[in-house]
Amino acid sequence: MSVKISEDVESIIDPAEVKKELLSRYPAKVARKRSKQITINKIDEHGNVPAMGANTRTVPGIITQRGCSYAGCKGVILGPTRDIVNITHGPIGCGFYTWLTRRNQTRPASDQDDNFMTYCFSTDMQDKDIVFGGEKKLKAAIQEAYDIFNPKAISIFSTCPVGLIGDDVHAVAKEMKKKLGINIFGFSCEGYRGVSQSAGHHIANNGIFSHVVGKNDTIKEADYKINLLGEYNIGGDGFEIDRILGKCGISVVATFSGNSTYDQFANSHTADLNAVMCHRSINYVADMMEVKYGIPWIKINFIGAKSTARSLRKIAQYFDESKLTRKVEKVIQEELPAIEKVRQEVKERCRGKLAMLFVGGSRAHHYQELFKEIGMKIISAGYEFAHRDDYEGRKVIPDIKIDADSRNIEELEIEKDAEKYHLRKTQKEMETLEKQGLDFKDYKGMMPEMTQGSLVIDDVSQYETEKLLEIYKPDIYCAGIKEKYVIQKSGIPMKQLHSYDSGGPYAGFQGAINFYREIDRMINSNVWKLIESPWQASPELSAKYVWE
Amino acid sequence: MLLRHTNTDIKKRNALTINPAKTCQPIGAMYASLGIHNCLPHSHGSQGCCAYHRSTLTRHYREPVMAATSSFTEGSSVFGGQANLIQAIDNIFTTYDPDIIAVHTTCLSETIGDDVNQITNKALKDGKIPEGKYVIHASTPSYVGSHVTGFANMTKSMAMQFSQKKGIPNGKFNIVPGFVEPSDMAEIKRILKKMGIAHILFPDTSDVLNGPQTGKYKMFPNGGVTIDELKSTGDSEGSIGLGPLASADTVRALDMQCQVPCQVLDLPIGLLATDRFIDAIRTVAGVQRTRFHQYGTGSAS
Repeated sequence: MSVKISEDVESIIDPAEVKKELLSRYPAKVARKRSKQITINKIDEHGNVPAMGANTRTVPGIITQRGCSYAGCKGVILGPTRDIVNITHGPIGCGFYTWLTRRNQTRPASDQDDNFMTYCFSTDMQDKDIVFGGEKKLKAAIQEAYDIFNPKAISIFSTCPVGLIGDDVHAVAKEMKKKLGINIFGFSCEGYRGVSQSAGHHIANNGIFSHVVGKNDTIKEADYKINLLGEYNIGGDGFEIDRILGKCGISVVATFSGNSTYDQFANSHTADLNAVMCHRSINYVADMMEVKYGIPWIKINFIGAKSTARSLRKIAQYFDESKLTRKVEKVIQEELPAIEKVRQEVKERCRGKLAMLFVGGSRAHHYQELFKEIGMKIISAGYEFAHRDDYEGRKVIPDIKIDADSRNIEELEIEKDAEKYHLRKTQKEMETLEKQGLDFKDYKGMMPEMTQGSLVIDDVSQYETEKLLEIYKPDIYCAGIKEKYVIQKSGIPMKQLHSYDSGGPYAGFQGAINFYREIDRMINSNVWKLIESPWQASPELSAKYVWE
Repeated sequence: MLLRHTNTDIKKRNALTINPAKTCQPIGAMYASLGIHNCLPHSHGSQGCCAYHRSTLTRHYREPVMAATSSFTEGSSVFGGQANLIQAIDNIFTTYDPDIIAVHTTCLSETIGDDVNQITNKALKDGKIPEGKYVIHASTPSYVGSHVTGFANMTKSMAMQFSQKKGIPNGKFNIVPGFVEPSDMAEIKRILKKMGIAHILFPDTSDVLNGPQTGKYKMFPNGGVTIDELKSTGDSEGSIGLGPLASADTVRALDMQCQVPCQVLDLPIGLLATDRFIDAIRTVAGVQRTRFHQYGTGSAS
């Protein structure tokens, strides 16, 4: 495999031509719509990027990566919490497909602690429930779950038909909460809401904030208390981040929601800083906690060695105590040499190779760091369910048009909590920190950090994926399970960035080493050269019939 | 540790299902549709259904699983999914160019009462289905039966919507293999070939969901029953349905529609059941014992 040098690709392949090619096959209406979601990156001198079409409906019939609101709510946000009994209210499928299908790991404190993540709970609605209503069955199911498992909390997730027939899951939750004396709450996350799983994230954020956050006022005795928001502990990412934070003496009150428990959420308002990892899925909770409890939030990123160091420094900068700053610097100095050694070794073999990432609402951005650290080039990237602010930065939020689909997702009106609100930093301290370069409540987005002329594609379709492979022949392509074998059958290594295939952790310092090694193994493996058998290369018979 | 809350006490439950050994109809319908050559399965419902089914089938088979969706939004749930489905049909034929789209419904489109037959007729009238291309459909509400029911319903739709009785016997036997793996379907075909029995096996996911690594991705792989074969099922000598749940309805419906005599057997899994299958097919096909008695010894051709 020849090493491709980035300049070569740029001079040979004109992104404008590629865009034209990607759109050429679509019916005119589809091409018009997709054209807004395929953008050639251009950063002007003020750091502004072109407007990106995002968070709009997928055209019916165009094969998409996207899932639904229920997937975002039950699968992503609440799925990684181990001690809540999550009951899917609906026909059996939805519950079945979210049963142990994400690799978010959990580690109960002891054998005696609850862990329901290996279970699937469903009301398995039948046709008579659809006709006569499913509320009675739901109540009975909650009672049975309570009797058998005796959990701290039970949550209910609505599937499409529940919304259509008008079952009131919230009323059922309220009634059963009163009856059983434990916290029970419902989510109206029917699959048809919104345009992707992103709607479900928002619904989950609202629910967890309204029903759980702030319910436990115990003050944890610790220094430097933060919440880690939008970290889902895929492949043990959260464990590695916890290790590093622990080493630095930073205490995590709650993680939303990798390796989390109900009590962590209930207690999370006692933290002094919200560190936001995945902006897309959890920024709502960060915003609401700031308004109600006075906790400021900053964007951090623990994917990539440099980003991890930068994020630790940001947290230390916020607390502004020399004890912490010294500790953080010490940890970084301790961890970096091992990473640097592997990085240099791997970079030799990976330099100039091309990567494409089409995944998530943060990952397509975060993982660019790791690829860049080993000298690779990102030729094209895009999100599956992100909004414009994830592409262009939060400064575009006032310009985002509210459409019929986004209007359907409730925006909670949050007010200061009379008792529990307190300022973590004075106005003046905040201003000083901002002047020192600590950006509060901000995310710069993916596009300003991508190279000029790279192709940014939102909600990439199956057809476009095939075309991109054909045109660019990337050295590695990152997406999810549905794309996995399409890419590999095309003879190109494919790394899943939802589940990490069977690998991980890739976050933090140890994670960076794991990722460099994994990518090195994948793109420099000889196996890809062995796909073609000798008789495919020269099908003519040319053997001699006698030995010489 | 894994299921540590599961203890030895048996408690009766009427409402709560825990760790089900079944899933919903549409995934079975999608799997069956993949057993037609050049077919794109289509899920008429929310995006999530299609994403879940594709993910689940991909994880299981470690093969690409292609399917499209009507991408319902709140609006389409209120006003009906006709516009979505017609647009989807148009986009699929233009962009992906399959020979056939096999539409299955979901709990969403069933609950709001979408009439897929009427919608596909409208698509045809509106010229959205090109000449020589087909759209078939099956009703597969998630709140009835299981994934096996969905497989059965889509398989029946294939037979009902394609089979014609021209009156010229094709000398073949219809074999409906039931919800089994691609390798099972390949094995059934191997046995039939060895016995010299001409057959139409449908659906047939072998060489679709157990394909080779060639370095070239083919959206529509080589395997699958062809449309011509499905049309000709009405002129077959007889049908054998394997597995009463997955296949009985189909072979009986073919008998009703085209008077193809049928038998329903259990799945040929295990020696005795395989013997029963071979005995049944050799009896109806009139195959001499010498043709197959050495089967399994390695000496039969």
